[in-house]
Amino acid sequence: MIWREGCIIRAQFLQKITDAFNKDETLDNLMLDPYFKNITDKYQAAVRDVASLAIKAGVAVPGFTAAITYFDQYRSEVLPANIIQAQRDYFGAHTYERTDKEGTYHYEWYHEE
Amino acid sequence: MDKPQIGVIGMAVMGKNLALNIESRGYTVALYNRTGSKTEKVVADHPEKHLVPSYSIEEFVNSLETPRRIIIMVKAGAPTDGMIKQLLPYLTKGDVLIDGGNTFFEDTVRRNAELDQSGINFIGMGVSGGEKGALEGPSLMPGGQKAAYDLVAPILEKISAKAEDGTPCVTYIGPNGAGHYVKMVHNGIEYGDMELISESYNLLRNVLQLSVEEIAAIFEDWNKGELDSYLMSITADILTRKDDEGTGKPIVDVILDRAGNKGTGKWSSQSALELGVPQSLITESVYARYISALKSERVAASHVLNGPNLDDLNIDKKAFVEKIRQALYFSKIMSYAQGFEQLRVASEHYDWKLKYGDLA
Repeated sequence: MIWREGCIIRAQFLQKITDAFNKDETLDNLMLDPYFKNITDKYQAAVRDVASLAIKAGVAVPGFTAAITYFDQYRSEVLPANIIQAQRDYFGAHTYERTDKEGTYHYEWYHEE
Repeated sequence: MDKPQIGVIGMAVMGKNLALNIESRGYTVALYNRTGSKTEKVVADHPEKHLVPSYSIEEFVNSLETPRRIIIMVKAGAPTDGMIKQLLPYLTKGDVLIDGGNTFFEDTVRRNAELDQSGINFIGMGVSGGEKGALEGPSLMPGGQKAAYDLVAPILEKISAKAEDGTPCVTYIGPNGAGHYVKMVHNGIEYGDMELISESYNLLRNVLQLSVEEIAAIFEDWNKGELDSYLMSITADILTRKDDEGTGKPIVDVILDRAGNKGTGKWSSQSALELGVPQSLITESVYARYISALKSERVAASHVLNGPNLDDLNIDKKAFVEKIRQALYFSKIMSYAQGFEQLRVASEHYDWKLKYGDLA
């Protein structure tokens, strides 16, 4: 409860964070707590509309766009990092893992001259 | 007067206010400042208080009840190291040094380990709430040896702010740099909260074309619901104020759009990068202040680079105000989600065993 009074970020909603960790000390991420998950369900349409309008209007909203971006990344089973890893393997032989079996692999993208 | 139960070094406003706060809870407090005239003034300004001035380090240390409890409130970095070095010859095993400065947590980790070799306990304590908080009740984030914390806990619990149910806004955070780390992330989160409120204001003002008075009323209304917070309330208040130099304009219209910073937001981002944990909200908030500081470049660029044509955005203003409110709360949740994820990764990395529920 140390941020509840006296400090600059004091806010009612901090109780929701305390509740979330009291319920589950090992919670990976606050969004996964039922209260916060419910807010993301209800409010994500609004933040998408607001961020879109801001971009259309030419008004920078780096905080709002970072928030929805983080949300969309965090809830993604698949991200395009496969392309990044392929590129790394292509130019630097950094190897990659596979989706279907254990181990480290390198693809022969081209024949060494 | 009793032998002082605690001493405060550094009589700048934070140290002075913290000393007065401690004294007001029934303690006798020893005071020391590098420049003696400052100490003299504090005592002269508060003649009725149980304050014991010292004009040398030796005198100061010897005046204290043992084991000694000493709070250092001097500039972070080299001045803090210098003060510790001066104190060390006069301290004895079991004494407790508390650094209440705005210290980078890695310095606290180092000092804790160094002093531990001489048997001196070292607590790095984040102090939040500014000058007013220091005097009336700050939020405190102490990290260091648990046994040392227990020696100072009764005092810290008395001087700290209290939650609605009376719980003191202080708890043992963890070993060595844990307290200063949590304070750093607290400040980073503060950057995020401030940035998100400023973006909401910008949309209301420059996209929905609402007046400053209308936005003040909206923020005041938001502050009654999920967004109830100190920062929301002071922003609503700020928007009601007029220029104090008589132009008749809202004060926000004459305040230059250049935001400064003292580095704690940057430290949070740097640590997140080091630990490999996403921290885009704080980082974007730091960048937003950096780009704001490029005022003259922005002014020049604004005459060259064109944005979109803002004909008719065709929006239902009332509905959109509610959307911005929801976007603000959603984004605030993402910011705290990142903040606590960073705390979790740091806690594992540094083996601090942070209790996340106690922090909020």
